[in-house]
Amino acid sequence: MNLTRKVLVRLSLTLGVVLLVSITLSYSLILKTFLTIEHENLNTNTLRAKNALENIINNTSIKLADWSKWDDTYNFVKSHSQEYIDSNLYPDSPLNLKLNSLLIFDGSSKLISGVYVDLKSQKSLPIPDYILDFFTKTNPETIKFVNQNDKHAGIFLHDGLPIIFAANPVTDSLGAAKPNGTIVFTRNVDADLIQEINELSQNKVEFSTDLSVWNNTKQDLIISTINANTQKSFTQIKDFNDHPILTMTITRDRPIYTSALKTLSFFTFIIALSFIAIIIVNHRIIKTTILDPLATMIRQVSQITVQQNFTYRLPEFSGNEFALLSQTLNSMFEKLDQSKSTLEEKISFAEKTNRAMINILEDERDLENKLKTQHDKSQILINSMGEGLLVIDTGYKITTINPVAEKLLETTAAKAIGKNWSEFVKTTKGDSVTPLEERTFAQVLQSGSTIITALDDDHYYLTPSGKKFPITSITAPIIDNEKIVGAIKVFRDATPEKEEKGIIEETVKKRTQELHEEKARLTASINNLPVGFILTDILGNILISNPNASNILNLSPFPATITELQTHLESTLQTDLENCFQNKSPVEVKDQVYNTQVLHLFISPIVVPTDIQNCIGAVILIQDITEAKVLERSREEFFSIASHELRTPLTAIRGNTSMILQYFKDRLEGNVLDMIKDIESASIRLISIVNDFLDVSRLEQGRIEFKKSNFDPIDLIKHVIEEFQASSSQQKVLVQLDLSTTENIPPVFADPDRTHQVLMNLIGNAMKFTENGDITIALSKKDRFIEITVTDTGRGIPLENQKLLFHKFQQAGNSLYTRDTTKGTGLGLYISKLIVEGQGGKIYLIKSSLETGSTFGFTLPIFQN
Amino acid sequence: MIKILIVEDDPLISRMYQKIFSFENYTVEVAENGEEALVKIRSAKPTIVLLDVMMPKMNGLQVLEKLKSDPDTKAIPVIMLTNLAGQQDAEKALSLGAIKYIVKSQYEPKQIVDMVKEILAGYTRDEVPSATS
Repeated sequence: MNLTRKVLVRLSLTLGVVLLVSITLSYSLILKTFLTIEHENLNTNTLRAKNALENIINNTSIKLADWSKWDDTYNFVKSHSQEYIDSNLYPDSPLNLKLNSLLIFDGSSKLISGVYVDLKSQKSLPIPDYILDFFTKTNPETIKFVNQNDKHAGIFLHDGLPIIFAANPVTDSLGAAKPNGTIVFTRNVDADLIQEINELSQNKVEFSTDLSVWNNTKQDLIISTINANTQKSFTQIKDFNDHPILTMTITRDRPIYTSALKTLSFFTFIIALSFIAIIIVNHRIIKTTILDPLATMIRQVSQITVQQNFTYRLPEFSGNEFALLSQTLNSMFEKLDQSKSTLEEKISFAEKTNRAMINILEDERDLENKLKTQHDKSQILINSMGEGLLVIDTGYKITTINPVAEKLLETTAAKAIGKNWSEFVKTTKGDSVTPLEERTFAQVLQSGSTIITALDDDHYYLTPSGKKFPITSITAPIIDNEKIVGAIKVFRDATPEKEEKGIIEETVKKRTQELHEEKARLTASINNLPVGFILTDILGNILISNPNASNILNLSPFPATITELQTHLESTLQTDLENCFQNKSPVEVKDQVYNTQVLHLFISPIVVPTDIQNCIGAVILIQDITEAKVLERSREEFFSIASHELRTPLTAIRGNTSMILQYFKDRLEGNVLDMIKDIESASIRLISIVNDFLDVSRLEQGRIEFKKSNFDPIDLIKHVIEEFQASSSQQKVLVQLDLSTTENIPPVFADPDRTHQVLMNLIGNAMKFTENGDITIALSKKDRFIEITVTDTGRGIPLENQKLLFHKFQQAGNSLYTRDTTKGTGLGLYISKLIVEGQGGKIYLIKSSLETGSTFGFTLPIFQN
Repeated sequence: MIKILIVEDDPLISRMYQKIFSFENYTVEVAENGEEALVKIRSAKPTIVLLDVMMPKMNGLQVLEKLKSDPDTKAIPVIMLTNLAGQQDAEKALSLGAIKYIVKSQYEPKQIVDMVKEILAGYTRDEVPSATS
């Protein structure tokens, strides 16, 4: 920082501090005094406003005294005369007194009469309940007096509205009589009253019921500064019980504070202005007398120093300290100038000599370093190579050998260098030793071109100790001035690679073999599949088909695409295949007729099990089921024909035995009669077995047409029960219909004869397995079906046998050897199942437990109009 | 005496029906096939005919058609005899003018006699047998 600026800064800082201190002091002292005055002023005003409110309350009390010590009032309380009411208690009385109400109570605090007005509209209103409640209920002590000179006055709050009241005992004008009642004045603290308080106290007064400002203080007056122009004071207003109910707020302007502030600002401004003037004047004086000449001299001297020009001289300053200084400096420069020129000559010579020497030394060192680095580099390179390195001259003498080569060839550099290479190591190709002239070094020295021997060339080195190892190598000529001066060979022990290669070759061979075997197995499997096998890609091209496929389809040549195959088959194969691809799930085509054959096609997608489940094609299996179909049909037909053919002779046996029993019974002796009877019952049982077989075969083949009609199932059940009651009178089993379940059962749509058969079967079964007890039939409505249940109290079905129910030939719980043949073929439930399902219903076991019985149920569709 | 003609190709069944109707004091005539039946009906003039549906030479339905188209024979009531498999043919026979059909294996001989009796009782009341079903 130069002197000019330093002087300026110090001067400004000093005066700035003085200015700050004086302003701070004057503000704190003077303004504090003004604030105290302002505070006291606000205090006074607040008290004035509070007093104004108290005066209003007192005035009300004073006005009341006129009425309470009035003989007329005293007498009125006694007599309740209408005359008093008419002449005094009309709206004008409170209006004149600027009151809201005037009330008179008797000694037992009961209102005798009163009047209430609205001061604004000047109209009489009914006395509000909250006023009466206040005096008679919530605060009855306010109108109770013993002594005639007592009185109560104060303020209370109702629903945010402050109300002033005064209550005096009613006594005579002398004030001697005992109080016989109470007279009360009330006045609402309305806008008019607040205006009155404002005028009395010369303030702006507001009342609020918000008491939160008093929460954390014990003061009863709080002053709050809102901003530079406004102040507020808060005072508590207490009710007649001394409870704070209101906050009175006074808002005042701050003329004292603002004018004080203005004065102070002006004062500060004047001081600051005079300080700035002092700074400017001082600075100018110092600058012209001292700083400027000094700056000139500095500039001149620095110019001399920078330019090293000691011939330059300072200007003359006139008649002060600066003139003396410039003369002294000038004489000094003169002496310096003389000695400088001698010195310069000497230095120049020394420097030249020095530079020449340095140059020579540096060149030499560079050269040496370069050579050394070069040498080191190649040495390191050679020594750190993973391969063996050999250099020979034209006489096949070894000139260089690196450590790897030493190790591999089992020698040392000392022994090897200078020796003939061929004495050192023999080369073999496979097992035969390579002649000298064919060795790589010889070839390279002769031809001058590089030779590389790879793993497959099968070169080996044989050391004098007999060690033999495979090598790979590069041999290159060393050429100097277009003349071969030697050769360099880099080689490595290729044992690991050789072994690895062997292993890889072995593995590849093995894998290939495995692959061939796998393929052979797969081909054999596919070709020997008993079904036709076709493999397609996603586009429907046939990739593989086995001989069976062409045999079954009898197509030669075999189609190349699915489209082509489809035209032969006259099927929807293409669509099926697309569905299969799309859904990635197998598609089965049953009973595809092809010429005289029946085929079964199974199309299965080939899905690559990656994230996206890519479908890459499909396998189509073709099965010729013609034979199976024929067999199935002939078996069904056999069953049907056999049963038919059995019936005629059986009918003859049964008919003839029944005729014998009917017409010749008395001619037969006991044993013969028994035998005939056995023949009859045997034929009856056989007929029923044959009937069952026929039913099964016809139901299975769908040859039974259900004659559906709408009928009432209840009628049918009743009919079946009657049939059972007729035939089973000797049994102790009761068959009954649960009548509580028969209401609101609509007609069903089914074959009545077949339904009859099902019911007979279920009830018949129940009877077979129930020695003693009930069989109950019940109905219920289930959605669009009627469910009929048959419940018995018989021996029940063991859990392990329950799943066998409803299967062909399954009589629950019996093996072929232990089955009870007297109880039927075991086809009953199976037939019932075929019938019920054929009619669109379901049949099932609802529950069964051992010793307590079983419940079977079946459903029939409700008749829909 | 009521004369009944039994037309049935299976001798076992035929003999059984001959016996029961003899026991019940009917005059019994027998035919083994359709052609024979037509001859017997015209010669013997039976009161009622039991006519099997499935027969060699001429089947029951063809016989029935011929009977019903001949004014001499069309008043003779005909009951069709059938097995379970021929039920549909038997129903067709009803539309051709047979009175009833009986599935042979479902009834005992005595029950068949009862049925014939019941039918004839109706006819004797009405005197003129009607061939409509």
